[in-house]
Amino acid sequence: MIKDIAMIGKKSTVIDPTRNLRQRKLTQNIAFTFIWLAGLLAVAALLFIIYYVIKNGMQVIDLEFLTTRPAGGVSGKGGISTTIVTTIYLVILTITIAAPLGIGTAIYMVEYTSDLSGKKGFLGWLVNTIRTSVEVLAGVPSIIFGLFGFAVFVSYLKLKFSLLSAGLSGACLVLPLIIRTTEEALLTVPKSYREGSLALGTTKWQMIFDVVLPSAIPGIITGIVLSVGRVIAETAIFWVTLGGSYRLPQNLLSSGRTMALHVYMLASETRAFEKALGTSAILIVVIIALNLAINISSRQFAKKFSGK
Amino acid sequence: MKSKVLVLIAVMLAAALFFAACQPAAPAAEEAAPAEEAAPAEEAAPAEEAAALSGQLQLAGSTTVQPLAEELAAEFMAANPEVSIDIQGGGSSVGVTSAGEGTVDIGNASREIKDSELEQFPNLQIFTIAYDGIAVIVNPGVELAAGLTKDQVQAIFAGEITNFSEVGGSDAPITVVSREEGSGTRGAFEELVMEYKDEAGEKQIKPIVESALLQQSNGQVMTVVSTTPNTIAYVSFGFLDDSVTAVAIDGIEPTVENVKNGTYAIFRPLNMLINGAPSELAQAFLDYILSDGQTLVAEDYITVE
Amino acid sequence: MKEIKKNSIRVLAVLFAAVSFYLLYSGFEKIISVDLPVSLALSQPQAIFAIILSLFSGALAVGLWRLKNWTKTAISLLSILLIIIFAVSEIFNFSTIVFAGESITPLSVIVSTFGKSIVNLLLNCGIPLLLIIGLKFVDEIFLESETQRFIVDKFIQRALVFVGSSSILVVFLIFIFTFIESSDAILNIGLGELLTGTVWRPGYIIGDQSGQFGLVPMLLGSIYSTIGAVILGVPLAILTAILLAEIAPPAVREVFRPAIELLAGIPSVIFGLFGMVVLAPLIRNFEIAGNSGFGILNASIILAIMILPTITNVTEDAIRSVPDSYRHASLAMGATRWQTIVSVVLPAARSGIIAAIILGIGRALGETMALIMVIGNSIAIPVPLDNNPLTILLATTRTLTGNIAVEINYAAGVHRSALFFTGVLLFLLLLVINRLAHFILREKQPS
Repeated sequence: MIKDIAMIGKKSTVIDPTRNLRQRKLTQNIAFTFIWLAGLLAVAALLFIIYYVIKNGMQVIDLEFLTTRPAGGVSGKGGISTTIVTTIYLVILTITIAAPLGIGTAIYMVEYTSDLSGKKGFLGWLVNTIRTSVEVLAGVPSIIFGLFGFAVFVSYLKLKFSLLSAGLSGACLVLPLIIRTTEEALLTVPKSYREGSLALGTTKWQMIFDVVLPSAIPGIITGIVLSVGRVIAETAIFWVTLGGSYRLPQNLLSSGRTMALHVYMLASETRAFEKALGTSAILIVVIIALNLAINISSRQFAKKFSGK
Repeated sequence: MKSKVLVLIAVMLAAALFFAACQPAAPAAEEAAPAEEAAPAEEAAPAEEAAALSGQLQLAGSTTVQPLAEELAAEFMAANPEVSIDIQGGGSSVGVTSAGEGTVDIGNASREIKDSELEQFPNLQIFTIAYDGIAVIVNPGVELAAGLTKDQVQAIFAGEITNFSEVGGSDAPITVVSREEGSGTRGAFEELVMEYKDEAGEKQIKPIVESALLQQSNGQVMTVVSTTPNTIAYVSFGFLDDSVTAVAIDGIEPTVENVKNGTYAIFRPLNMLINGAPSELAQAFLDYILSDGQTLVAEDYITVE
Repeated sequence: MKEIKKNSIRVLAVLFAAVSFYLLYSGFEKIISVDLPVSLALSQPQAIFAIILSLFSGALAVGLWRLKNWTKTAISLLSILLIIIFAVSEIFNFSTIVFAGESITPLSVIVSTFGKSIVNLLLNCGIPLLLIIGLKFVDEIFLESETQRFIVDKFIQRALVFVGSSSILVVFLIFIFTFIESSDAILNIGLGELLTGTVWRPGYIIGDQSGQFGLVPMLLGSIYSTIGAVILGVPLAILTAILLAEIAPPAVREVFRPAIELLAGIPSVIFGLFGMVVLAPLIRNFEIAGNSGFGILNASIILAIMILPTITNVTEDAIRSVPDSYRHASLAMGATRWQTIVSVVLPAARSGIIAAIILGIGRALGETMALIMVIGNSIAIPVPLDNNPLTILLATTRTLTGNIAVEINYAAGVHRSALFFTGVLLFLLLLVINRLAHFILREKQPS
């Protein structure tokens, strides 16, 4: 028993250690229970959504669903063949435009100018501006990219509602993602690789191309896969730049519909909710596959560099 | 060496896609001469035959016109396999703006074109392809045996009447569903139903209540009204089906016959708009619509007579 | 062996030279055969093209003869380019036949079309493929000069500067276009009306030229739905982050972590669909007049699920970066783990948690499509449906992002400009929020 002698006149606080500990343990158990519940709730929400979509969507998926095109209009009849193909086209187009630009920028930032940020002069200013621009781009909401794409590509450049406008707008969206992941990948390549190569007499570009890049490829591919997932999941941008035609795009200047857009149109225009869920199910499966691929590859990547 | 080539492929791919895709169909190149000669061969593509039509048309605009245009386009494309017609929605104002700015080849509008729009796009040509009625619909759960009068409809959409019990239904608050401002269906509805004369005898239009749920197409309106209880909306005749209840206005049922015999007054023209002179393909399409296509029109709409 | 290879390349060089002369000849022949004055004849695109090609071919021939490395690279790249072009055309053709139909394409047709495409591809790509393989085979006899490597290096360096500036260009363009397009609205409508006006009726159709462009209803719509999402999502997210960072055993962590990441990758339309199909009927069970199932509550719920992964991730990182010494010291003094978390870890991670919340708010403000599907899109300022102020959750409204998406397709003139201004407003709002988050994150240095 601990008595505070200086406070004789006041009511003395007596702490019973055992009871106190029991109280605190009780509080902890209650708190931890709540926390576990919270975590389970979050995961349960995810699982419920996936379960609902896949269970209800699976019923409509068959060969006909996958190889016939949407019938358009309000009937909601038909399949989703053209949307699958359009999505693939758009993904390839967007990555083709964004990947060289993004990887090039990251190479420039890491290899050529990493010692320059903060320095005075034109190049120092350039590097800082590039860095700020990438950060700004990363924070822009997708509808603004859509707005931008509509103003510049569809209206001003008269590209109309087409794969090209959508691809260019989508490329702006994923550019920061590719730049960031490539930068990270390049930074994990040990300096010794670079120094060894230069010591052997290669030029800087040869060193980058033949030594650094191959080691960084897994990280770069992760970035590209993440961008693919982003493009597949994106709707707002393509709603405004791609148009909504249900037919197959004949060339880069045709309009089309991606799967995510098709889900939106099915849900709002027709009452074919099961088909919307079916398309969503396919989308979710693709995203799960992409996530798995990233997880597995990043684990292998980490292993490769730690078990050196 | 391999990796060098692989990375530069990515750069080349962009150029390659652009190259390949800017030609509508890929002619197979001869392999006799070395590869570079394939390029001038592709350039000298054979000229189009005068007989068969080919090319691409982009239409956009009214969601009312959209399904009709899609049916007409399907027939036209069946007769002319080299033609490809893409149609999107967006609302009548999209049709006017896109056609005027040249973003699409033909714009669709389900209303009259305003003077202000003609001022903005003086070269806009208007081709009326059909007439379409606008029906007032309610969710099937709403009981309105006696229908509604035009004044009642106006009051409901203006927010003055807020409960179905005030117009002969059960006690349920009314959820008004409307279209976006750019909608031709909405514009026509406002001109024909929401019009009143103010104190000075001037024609005014009562604004639709602010709390109305706004949808972007006829299809969306149908979805909301058929699945949400106690809703009321207006929709094009061509979209009516059993999932909603069409309301008789002043005792007249909303049918094509009633529009034809003049008893049902809520209808508007369906227009196709082209900026300047139509291209050969567009003219051919229009000619088809105004001649053989009218049989398709007659199925759900009123032909141009 | 080397001699054979050298000679075969020389033969190839002669072939290229022959092609070059042929092209030159045919080009000139075209010019001569046409009965036009030389100047007009020179404007024949085909002839010009042929002549240019012939010069290029000649250069390649010379390079090949001299066994230059750049020639080999150029030919290989061109061949790859051609293969890609053919492959892309084949893919387009294949898709058109197999996928564009109205009825199922029978499996036999799919397989046969596929076969035909492959055959076509091989036929067209025969020459380029042969060239590539052949050149690979004779790789070692090509000489690379010092100057060539140097030129390539310098060129790449310059090129990369341009590539790097592409992001600056994009940001610049976005700024320019959105600001310029919105200037019309700022000048003609005025910032006052835009930012404080409570009615949004562009008046486009009514024929009345004077539209009203007040953004307050949309601002409130965005703000209310974001607040709702924060109230529902933030506690859940932070608790989940605590779970993942402090309490859960590694096995559970391995399962929960990817699950939360998966949540982040799900397309937003699926959440919107979920809100329309599952949540709306559920919410309609509240027997309140005017309840349509759409509105702020619906939007808040799906928004909360959408921002959960963002907040959880950043919070978890923040909690992890609290040094273990803090925890050990607290435990050494007799505190329970829970007391440690509440009194030591969380306060230390406070700035990271705040940054996480702010990032979540940014994400919520930027969401578009899912909200369009569930929030009703009415232009009214959200107000409670009856005397109970909580029923404001059941009111329908419109967000800033939804405003843009719904009207941009048809807006013209000052209306369109006002929509761009909405974009600018959104942009600035989010910029401020992001800067705030970064500022706080940077301020928080582990001591």
